[in-house]
Amino acid sequence: MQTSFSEITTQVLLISTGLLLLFGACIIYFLFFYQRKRFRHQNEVSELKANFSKMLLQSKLEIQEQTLDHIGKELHANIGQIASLININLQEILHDDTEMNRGNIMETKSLTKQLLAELKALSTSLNTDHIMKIGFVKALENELGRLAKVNYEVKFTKSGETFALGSDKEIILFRLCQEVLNNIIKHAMAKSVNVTLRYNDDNLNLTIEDDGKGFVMDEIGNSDGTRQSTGLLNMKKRIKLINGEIDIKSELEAGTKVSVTIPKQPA
Amino acid sequence: MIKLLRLEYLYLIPLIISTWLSLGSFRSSWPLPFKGFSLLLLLTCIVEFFSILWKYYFHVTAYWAYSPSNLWVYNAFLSVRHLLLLSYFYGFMMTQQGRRGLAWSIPPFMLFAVVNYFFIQTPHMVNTYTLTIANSMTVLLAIYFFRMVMLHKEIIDLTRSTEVWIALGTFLYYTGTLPFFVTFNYLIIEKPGIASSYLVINDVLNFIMYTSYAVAFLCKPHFLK
Repeated sequence: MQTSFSEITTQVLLISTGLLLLFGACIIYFLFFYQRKRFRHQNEVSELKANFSKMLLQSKLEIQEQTLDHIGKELHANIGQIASLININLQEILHDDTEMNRGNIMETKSLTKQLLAELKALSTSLNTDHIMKIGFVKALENELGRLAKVNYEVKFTKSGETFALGSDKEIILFRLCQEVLNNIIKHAMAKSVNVTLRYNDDNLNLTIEDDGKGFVMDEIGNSDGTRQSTGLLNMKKRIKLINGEIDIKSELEAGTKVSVTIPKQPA
Repeated sequence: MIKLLRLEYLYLIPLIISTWLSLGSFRSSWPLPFKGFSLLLLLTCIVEFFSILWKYYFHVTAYWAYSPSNLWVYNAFLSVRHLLLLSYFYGFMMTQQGRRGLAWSIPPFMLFAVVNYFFIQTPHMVNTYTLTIANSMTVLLAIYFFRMVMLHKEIIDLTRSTEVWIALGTFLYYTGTLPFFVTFNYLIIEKPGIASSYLVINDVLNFIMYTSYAVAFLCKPHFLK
């Protein structure tokens, strides 16, 4: 009786140890399994968020292009027409008017011609169809030409065999260049702008450098996006959209250098 | 030294390694619970070696002669060990209730451990009452910790977290040895063969536990930064 009782106790003991160890193993397995599931779920959510942000940005850029295109066409069609009419009216007044007013009228005509030229240049730079038609290089040259007219010393160097990036990518790249050049006009207080366009075997490299006042990189932005200026953030997002890389280097009183690399589209 | 080259002392290797690695928590300024855990490992190391030395050499000297049984050493260290272990888990208690509950339960446990050591089961008998209470508390705390990991808003890599490895090793050892220590005194008298076999299981679980502690201190802490 005693023997069978102690045998039963021993069996109970062994079984309970086994069960407890099994219970422990199950808890540990469940913990790892649950954590792996959460991790997978988090990855899926991050991917969805990234895809959504990308789609949102693409839509925004499309709407922006459409708006700019519309403004460009309106400038050419309506405002350009009105400026032309002003010029015609002034020409008629010039024939009939006295010597005394002739000088003023001539000056006004000259200003109107200038306005027409500016309007044409502006509407061309906004007109997406026109940019796609003439190509990125020509559009950039035109834009730099406009910059040179406002007393900037502009140097443009192109090297390598030109290849097409695709019209969508070229539009985004062109708008980025416009933004960089606008920043130079608004903030840099530069005298000269140096633009280098290099067509390499597997990528395109564009560098825009100015000799302006520069800025402190830490004050403007950092890699994790906190306290980053909207403009720089937008530039980075746009370049990322076309699988490119952007590098912005700046030092106080030493100017700013923006370098963009876009991979070549496979044939 | 030759006497240490026995399978039953194999767990000393990961114990020494984990103690050595845990000292890095002082150098790298890790949070207080990890320093406390490092102290626990260091004391465990000292107690283990002392108890082995007592068994083979120190029990008889020119000045005294005692039984070679080193149970009194392990029994005395029991309360200190669990005090440090419970303090470690106290550092992870997120809720005020949990902290208060644990803080209130430690003094009665310590008091009982001392009374049990001196008066109830005495030093030369395995203090299974203290062990049962301490092991149960430790298992519950480890489960609480796992629950906290699952509910935490940040998803951490379990294989690279110091706290998780410590909790895993602790949980496995104390869960596996709970029934054994509950019935140890009975087995020693009625079934010494089974008790010896169980000691092997205890040694294996010890080895696993200290190995997981060693791995823990190769990782980085996550919850307490």
